[in-house]
Amino acid sequence: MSRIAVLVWLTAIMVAALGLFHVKYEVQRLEEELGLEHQSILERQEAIHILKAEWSYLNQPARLSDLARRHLGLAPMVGTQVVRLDDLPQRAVQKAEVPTPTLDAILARARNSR
Amino acid sequence: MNPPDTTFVRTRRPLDLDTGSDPTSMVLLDGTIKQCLEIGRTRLLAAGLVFAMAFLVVGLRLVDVSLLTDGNEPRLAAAPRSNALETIRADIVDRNGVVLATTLPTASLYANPRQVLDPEAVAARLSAALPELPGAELAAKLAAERSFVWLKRKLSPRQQHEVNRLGIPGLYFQHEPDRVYPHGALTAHVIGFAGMDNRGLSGIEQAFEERLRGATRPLALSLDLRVQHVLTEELAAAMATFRAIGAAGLVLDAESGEVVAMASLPSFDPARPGEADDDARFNRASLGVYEMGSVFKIFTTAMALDQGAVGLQDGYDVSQPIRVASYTIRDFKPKNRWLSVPEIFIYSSNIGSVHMAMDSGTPSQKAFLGKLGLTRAAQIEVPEVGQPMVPSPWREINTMTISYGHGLAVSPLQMVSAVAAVVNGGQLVPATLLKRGGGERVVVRRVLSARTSRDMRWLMRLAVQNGTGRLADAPGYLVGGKTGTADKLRGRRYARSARIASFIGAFPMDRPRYVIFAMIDEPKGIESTHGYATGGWVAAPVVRRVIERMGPLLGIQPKALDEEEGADRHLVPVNLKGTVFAAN
Repeated sequence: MSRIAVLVWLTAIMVAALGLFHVKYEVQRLEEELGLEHQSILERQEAIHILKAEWSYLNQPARLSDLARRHLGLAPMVGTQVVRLDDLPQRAVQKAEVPTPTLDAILARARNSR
Repeated sequence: MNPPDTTFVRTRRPLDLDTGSDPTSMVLLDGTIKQCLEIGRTRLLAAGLVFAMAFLVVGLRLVDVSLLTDGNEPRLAAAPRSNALETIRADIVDRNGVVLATTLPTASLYANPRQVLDPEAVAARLSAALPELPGAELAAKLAAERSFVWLKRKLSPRQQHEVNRLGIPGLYFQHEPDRVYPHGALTAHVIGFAGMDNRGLSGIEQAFEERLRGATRPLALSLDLRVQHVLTEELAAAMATFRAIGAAGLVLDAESGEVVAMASLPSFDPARPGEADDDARFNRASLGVYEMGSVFKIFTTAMALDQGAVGLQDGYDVSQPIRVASYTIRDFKPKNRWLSVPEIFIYSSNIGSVHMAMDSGTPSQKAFLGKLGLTRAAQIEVPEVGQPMVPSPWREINTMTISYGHGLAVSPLQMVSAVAAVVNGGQLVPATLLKRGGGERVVVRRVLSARTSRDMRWLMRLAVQNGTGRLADAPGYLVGGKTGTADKLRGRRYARSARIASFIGAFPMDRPRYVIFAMIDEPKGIESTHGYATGGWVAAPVVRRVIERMGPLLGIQPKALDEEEGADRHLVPVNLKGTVFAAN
């Protein structure tokens, strides 16, 4: 009786110890992985930071206007080029004969589009 | 148990005292020995009890810690934080988030000469990759009997890559943060610069040292880089055309007091401030103080109108020059007749302005200019702020000369703040270089009535439509403004050949959004301006082009030309070649 108990306890201890070590190594591995991820995030952030500075440098207004002039043939816009929608003359539209859709047709279209 | 009457006790287990050979032999203990044993047993018991208690306490604590409490146990493992990049100095951005100053990691190249095998060959390869390092000097450094020598500080990423690609043993990189200004000279005077130790030495960098150091949140300025570029480019073009020695310009939001652009030319490269001379590093827009000339007539007219000293219908005879003490005050282009107040303003008559100032009086002029912030240094974030030169004592002759902008020197920054107050409805808003939220007005002080402000807007518009500021008229944007030409002081007298040409304008005049100032220092007349180098010929076109270019950028709706005049006009007779103009 006591021998069985001892055996049971020994097995339990072995299993617990193995489980403990397994969890411990798993945690260690995950922590390492986490550290690497954090490091790579920081590296990416630093890269983004540098790229932002470079983006700002490449977007120097003088450089952009020079590029636009040379390659796109663009010039700065002036106020007289801006027209409001209200200022446009009304277009003379010839009303085409559009059949008034029935309720059934509208519902059918709605169903199809779904 | 032992019988109580026996004198000898028999131990339950035989003690192995001397022989121990016979287990059945009995040891009889006499009184002394028995006593000793009793004491020993008691001590043992006591000690055992203490230890048992201690183990019990440890055991209970163990149960308590491992099973009952979890308060001290973190539910989640603490992770190293990586959500924010730690920089030693925060970025500075413009109002749209464009990076104006940032801190980048740079690599500095050093060598351990003891590990360098062939100094000559290494020097040759290295100076091929970094042409600015002479080969002979490098070879000498690499041959030195030391274990550390700097080769080049703060390499660019491309240079670092080049050096890395050579794969020379004995060369190493040391990472150092460096302050970088992507827009260089364009924003140099506002941003300032930081020294080798990344400590701000001028401009915003110096003023916000505490805020920037060790922070990650960027500092947003009120500047708009696009407008800054437009202003700088147009000023530089005018400077080149008129062979001027310098220029300054400002664009101010008339509602919020935000400085949208501030330019001072010549400028300098903030990455190499040591190579720039003092003139280039001098901020003409905030530190320089100048006698502004006729642009001051805005304040003289506003004062006279606001105090009721004159009305828009009044006028003066300007045919006679004014002689005071040894001075004679004349007009630049004499009209030799009676001029109405609007005419005095749009033709920029010195004599008429003097009459208006004298009718208002010296104390009220002093008080009025003081209210507009023209007699004390401007309040702005950068440390480079000029102290205005105010006459002391303020005599009648000073009142006369100040009425047309001589005898009181102010900075362009003070100028735009004051004019913003004149045109925005009469409220002085403190100027700022920091971005303010959604057009809010802070610490507003009324300096003149809304009625006067409206009249002044009309007068300034009239000066551009029909007066000296015609060249500032950008079609559709309702530009209003005033020209100014001031002779510069050379020693104790005014120099006729050295002058400051300026123009201060605002647009659109029905509800001014921006006040724009342009100033050219010592322009020379050219053929296409008929030899003139006045504010109307030099500075007004700069303002027109700046407005034409910034209007579409900032989404300001240009007006069709015929809808300029508003609904509620009142007629003011202005004797302009026999025409009558309507005031809004």
